Amino acid sequence: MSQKKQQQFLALYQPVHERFERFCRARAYADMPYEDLIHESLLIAYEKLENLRNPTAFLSFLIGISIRVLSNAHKKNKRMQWVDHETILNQIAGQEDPMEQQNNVRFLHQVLKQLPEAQREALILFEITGFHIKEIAEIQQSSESAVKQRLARGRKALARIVKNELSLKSEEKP
Amino acid sequence: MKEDKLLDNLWEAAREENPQASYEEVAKKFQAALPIAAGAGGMAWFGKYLSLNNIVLVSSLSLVTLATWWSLSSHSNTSSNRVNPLPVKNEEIIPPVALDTVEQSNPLISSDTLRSPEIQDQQVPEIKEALVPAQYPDTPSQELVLLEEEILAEQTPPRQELKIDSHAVLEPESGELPKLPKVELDHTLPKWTHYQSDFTFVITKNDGEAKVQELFKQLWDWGFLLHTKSKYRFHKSQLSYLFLWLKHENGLDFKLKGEGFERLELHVRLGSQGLVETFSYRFNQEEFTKDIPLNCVGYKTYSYGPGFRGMSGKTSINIEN
Repeated sequence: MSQKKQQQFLALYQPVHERFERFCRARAYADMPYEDLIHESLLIAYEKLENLRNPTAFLSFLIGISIRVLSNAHKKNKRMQWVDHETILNQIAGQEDPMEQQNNVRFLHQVLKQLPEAQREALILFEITGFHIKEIAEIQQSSESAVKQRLARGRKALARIVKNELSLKSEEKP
Repeated sequence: MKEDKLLDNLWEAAREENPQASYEEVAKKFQAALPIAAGAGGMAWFGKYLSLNNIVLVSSLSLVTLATWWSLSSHSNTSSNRVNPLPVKNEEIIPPVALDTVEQSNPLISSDTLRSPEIQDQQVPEIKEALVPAQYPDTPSQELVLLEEEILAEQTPPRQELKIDSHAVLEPESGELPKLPKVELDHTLPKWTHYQSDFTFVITKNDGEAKVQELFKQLWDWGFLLHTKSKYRFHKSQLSYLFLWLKHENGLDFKLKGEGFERLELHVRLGSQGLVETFSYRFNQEEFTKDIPLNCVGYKTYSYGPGFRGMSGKTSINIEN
């Protein structure tokens, strides 16, 4: 029985693994190790698999769980966020070349970290995971217009942060 | 803009980046952790979860366990006294004739066999006297004689053999079975001049998803149209949110939203021809709402519980026409 359930679960998970992994990596950046987030989310999802109404919505189901896991971890480590935030700013300032291919994604994650949580989440879900606005609204339990607003504000804020970073870099490099 | 273009490139890179943790690794780690989660570790986690989050549940469970244990233990202790649990003495309920009757009707069960040899000689008459209750001192002993002869005399008559004619009579000419005469059935329903009935559908927060689907089906059967935006949500296996967008061909456009409610009772009133005329409902209130006609346009939101926003029972029904 449990063997069959495991197989069913892994069969559901395999096609969405890459998208889920990218989401976790972007979303959990500097909050907790993304492997732990994946692992914890999978275990919870396995336990609650009976609650999944539509197998096609498995990725949303997983992401919903991972958001809650992250939120719980965030509450526990709220004090540490201060240190992390400072560290991240220093890291960005000390980035050698953000345009390097291997550092691109890391730079993006660092920049995203400076956004408010809801905006960051909406942007990751839309741009990286490839969800539609309607799906994001369901995950974030808000209206579609709210998601659109988050996306627009997030993009603006992100552009502003990137612009600042680029100007910093140009000042540092004569 | 330079930064926009850079951002586009960054998003593109993030989308196309190969996963750092492969599916095989993740699946292996997941499968390795499963037995622990399902086994002792799982039980420990469950215990921790229960103790931390459900103190009320744990205390009530332990109370129930304690009560069950106590009732079982007391049950087993008193089992030896169950012959006469009531404070009524045996001599009060045994009729004075019982001992004699038993002795006479069954020669094997006699005073000799029932009593020990020590008390046989002298104590038997005394015991017999003591068994006669004080309120019936003069009642003569009666013998219950089984009138076997009388019963035997009233024997039932012998069974008659039941004969069933299993031969169908065939038509002599065609050799087929005879055709039954045609009977014109009246398929028209009786014309009720006034038919009215009420139905109530109850759903509680502890009901599962099947019950919600049943509600949707019931609404459909009653002639309501459910908008696709109608939805529901479960939180910790409890129905925490229900949004019904009811429509009807008569013009009904009614949104009903409930959060954190204990129960929802939906009441419909059927009019002539068994069709829904009006409906009403109540979430946790004592009384149903007023009857809402099927040409009503409006919405109503109910929020209950400490964790929910807004006031409970916010009303804004706008009945047109």
